[in-house]
Amino acid sequence: MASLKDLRDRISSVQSTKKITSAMKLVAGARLKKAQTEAESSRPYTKRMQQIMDNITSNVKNIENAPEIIKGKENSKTHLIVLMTSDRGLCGGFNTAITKLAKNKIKKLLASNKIVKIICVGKKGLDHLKREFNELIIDSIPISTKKKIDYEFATKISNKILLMYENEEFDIAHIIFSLFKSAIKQEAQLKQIIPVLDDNVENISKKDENKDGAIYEYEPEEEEVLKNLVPQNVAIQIFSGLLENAAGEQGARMTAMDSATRNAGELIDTLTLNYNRSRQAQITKELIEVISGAEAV
Amino acid sequence: MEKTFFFELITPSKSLIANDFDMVVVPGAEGDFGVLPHHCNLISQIRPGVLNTHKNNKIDKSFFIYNGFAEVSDNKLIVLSETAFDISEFKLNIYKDNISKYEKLKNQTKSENEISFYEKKVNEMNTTIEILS
Repeated sequence: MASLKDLRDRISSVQSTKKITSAMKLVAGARLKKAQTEAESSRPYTKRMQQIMDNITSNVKNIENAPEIIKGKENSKTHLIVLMTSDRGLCGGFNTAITKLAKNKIKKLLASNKIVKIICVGKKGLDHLKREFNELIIDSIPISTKKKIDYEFATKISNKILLMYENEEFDIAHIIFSLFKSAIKQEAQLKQIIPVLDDNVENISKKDENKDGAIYEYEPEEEEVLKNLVPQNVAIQIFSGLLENAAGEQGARMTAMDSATRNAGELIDTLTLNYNRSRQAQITKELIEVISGAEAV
Repeated sequence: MEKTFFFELITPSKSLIANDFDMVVVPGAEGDFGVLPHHCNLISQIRPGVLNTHKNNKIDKSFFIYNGFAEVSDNKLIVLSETAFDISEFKLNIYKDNISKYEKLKNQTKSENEISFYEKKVNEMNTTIEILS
């Protein structure tokens, strides 16, 4: 059995762990509130942009003549995956859920003989994928240099992606991030950003076309507008992904630290009980020794 | 027939205004255009300029818009812009500070991508100052 001193040491070490986790929980809670408001206030823009994009793509007069960035290329060989994770760990299964989705997607693409390129935004994604897909990772962008995620940061990433598209370095781009539902629930999501028309979604929007036959006037020409609208759409998708991630990260960390704190509390209780028991046992033992010694005399 | 229509101006970080108006004058890429109730469906690019909202024959609020898109459909006008703010919030010295900040960052970096990014920013600040002062 462990000696009294060992037990005492363990109790004090668990106690200090508990202090740390409960402090982290408080900090995450405070940050969560801010990140959540930011994520939520970016949603209207994203939603509207999506609506406009849907309207336009379902109204493009002849889809054959639409720019490639909208309708997609005929043979899409190279896929780009933009994996967005957090920079720090200790946030439960948050990053694991995102990278799991990414790994599945990458494996599926590789199995169907596609070329995959990966950009990691956030250090954790890089750490997770490095072992398996090191040669596929073409770039990684850390977040922690930024105190606050601003639109500029997202534009820089989207500019990089659009430049790659222009140089024909990939044909299809997906982003992977985690949608913030609540502090205890985040959902890893896969979204296609380039080309705008998603093969899977295409059928749905065609159905809508009959129902909502709004025809737009374009100023200037349709192609010109689309050419400028698409980059903005890419930027805002990335921006909203980053914000949702930031909120999700804090939420996941708060829940993870909450259960860690509770766990530590339980552990301290059991350890204290053990400690008191063995102390009692020792005292009894000493008493017996004294008494039996006295009787022998 | 309603005499007003719904107008919303949204930036990535927040929705600046969402209300009913009589008329909104938007700085379109090919010239300013006024939007009245039951305007036909339209998607227009925006050039840097001032957007005015009218209520009861008076200018109600004015916003500066640097870029973005206006969409009219279904008696609604939605303006999406990456950079937009209420004119009353414009402060000349902050913009001048920003210019020097971006120029400093531009000189520090070597990647072409970043240099063109900061150049764009400086341009943006200069145009803003030019139009508003």
